[in-house]
Amino acid sequence: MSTATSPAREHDLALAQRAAGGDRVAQRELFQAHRLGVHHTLYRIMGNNRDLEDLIQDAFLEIFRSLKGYRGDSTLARWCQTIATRSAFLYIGKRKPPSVDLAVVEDVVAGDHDTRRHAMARDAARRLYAALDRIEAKQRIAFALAVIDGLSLAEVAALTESTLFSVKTRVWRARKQLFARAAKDPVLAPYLEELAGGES
Amino acid sequence: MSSKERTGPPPVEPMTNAAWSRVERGLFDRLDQPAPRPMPVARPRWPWLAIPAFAAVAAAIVIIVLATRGAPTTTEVALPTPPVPSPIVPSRVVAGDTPSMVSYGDAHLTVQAHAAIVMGREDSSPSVLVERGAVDFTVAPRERETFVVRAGDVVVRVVGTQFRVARFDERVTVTVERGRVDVQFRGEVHQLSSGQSWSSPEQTANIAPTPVVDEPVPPIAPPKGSNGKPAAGSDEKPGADEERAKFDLMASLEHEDPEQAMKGYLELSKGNSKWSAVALFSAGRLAFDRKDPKARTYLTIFLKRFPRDPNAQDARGLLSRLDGANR
Repeated sequence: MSTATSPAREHDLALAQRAAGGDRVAQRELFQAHRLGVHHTLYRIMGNNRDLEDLIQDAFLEIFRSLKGYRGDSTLARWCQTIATRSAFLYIGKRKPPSVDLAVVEDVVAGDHDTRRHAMARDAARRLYAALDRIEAKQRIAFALAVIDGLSLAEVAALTESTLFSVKTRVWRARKQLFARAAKDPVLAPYLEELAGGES
Repeated sequence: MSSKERTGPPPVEPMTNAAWSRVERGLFDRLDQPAPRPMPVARPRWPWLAIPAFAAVAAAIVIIVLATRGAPTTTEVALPTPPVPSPIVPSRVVAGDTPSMVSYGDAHLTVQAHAAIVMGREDSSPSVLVERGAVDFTVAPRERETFVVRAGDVVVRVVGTQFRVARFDERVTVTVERGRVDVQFRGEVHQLSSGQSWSSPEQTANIAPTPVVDEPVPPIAPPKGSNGKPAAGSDEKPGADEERAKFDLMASLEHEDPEQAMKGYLELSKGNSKWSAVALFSAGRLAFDRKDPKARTYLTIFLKRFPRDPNAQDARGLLSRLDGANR
C-alpha cells in the first residue's frame, strides 16, 4: 500500500499526530469524526447497543494509545474501525456467556402486515445474534462483518488483521454452525437463508 | 419469508445523544485520570527504620528553611507567578423554563430555556460543550488562551466577542453579534465577523438522529385513538427523514411557540416509528414543563405504548414527580 499523499490523508496524519501527542482538542475532533464509524462496526459485531457505551470508550482509549503507530497506510476511519474490531474481540473473549437465550423470548406482535413483518425481522435478528453469542469470537466477527454488514472478504481481512484465507474459513465455519443451530428454529432458518444464502 | 418479504440485515440502531454524551464524558474522564502505577509499592523490609528516617528528613528541611530565610542570594530574580489553571472539573448546567445566567471565568453565558451545557477545560483553554438548545456568550477579549465552544461536530474558537451557538439535534447555528469567531466543522474553518451567521448542514452522513432506541424494540400496536392506518414509518421507510425534520422543527419551536410544538409532537406521535415515541415523550415532557395537566395523560400513554423506550425511565420519573406534587 502506498503512503498517504492526498489532502484527506494529510489531514488524517496531522490529526493523528496531534491526538497522539495528547492534544485534547485533536482527540475530541478525532472522536467526533470517527465515532459513528466505530459504532457501526461494533454494532454489527455485537448486534445491539446494550454494551456499546463501554465498548466504544474502550475502543477509543485503545485508538488514542495506538495513534503513534498510525502511518497513513489506510484512512484514519478504517484504521479506527480496525482497532474497534480488535477491542470487540477482546471484549467478547472476556465477557461471560449469556445466561438466558434471548431467542426464546417471544415478542407480542400486533398491528398490520408491515408491522408484523418488521417485528419478525427484529425477532430473527435477535435470534441470529443469540446464536452468534455461542460461536467462537473470531468466527462471529468475520461472519458479522462479511455477511451481516456486507463487507468484502478482503475488507474483513484488513479489519481483523488476518489473511483472506483465514477469513474465508471463519465465515464458512460460522455459517455451518449457525445453520446447524437454526435447523430447528422456524424464525431464524429462513432469515439466515436470506442473509447468508443456502447451506453449503 | 418469501422473496417478496426480504428484510435484509438488521438496521444499525443509532445511539441517543444522551448516550453519546455519556460516552464522550466517560472517555475523556478516563483519559484525564492519571496512569496507573506500573509497579506495586513494595512493603518496606524494616518498617521501624521509616520513623527515624522521616524525622531526620523533616529536621533537615526545617534547618534548611531557617538557614535560608532572610538571606536571599543575589541571583534570585522575582518571576511572575504563572496563573494556576483551574482544576478540570466539568460541570453541567441545564436551564429550565427560563434562561439561566452563568459566569465562567471572564465569560458570561446565557443558557436559554431548556438548553444544556457542560463546562470544562481543553488543555489550558476554557471550553463549553453545548448539548442542546441555544446559548448566548459574551467573552472578554483574551490575550493568551482562546475560549472553545463545542456543539456536535462543530468547534467555535473565540478570542473575545459576543455570539450565540444554537444546537437543535445535530443542526448547529453560530451567530456573531460583534467580534470574530472561527467555526471549525469537519476540517474546514469558517471565519465569522459581526452580524454573520453560519449553520451546519441539515443532514450529513456522519450524524446520527437523536431520538432512537438503544436496542431493538418490538413494534407496538397502534395507539388508542389512532385511525388504524399503517405504521407511519420505520427505520427503512423514506418518510423517516421527513419525520426527523418535523421533529427537529418542533424541538426548535418549543421555546418560541410551545403550542405549535405541542401540536406537532402530538401529530407526529400518531405514527408507529421511533420518532413517534420520542415525539410523544416530548409532548409529555413539554406539558410537564408547562404545568399542563395533560402531561400525566401523555406520559401514561407513552409508557403504555413504548414501555421499553430509552425515555421510559424519564417518563416514570416525571410521573412520580407529578404524583408527589398532587399529594
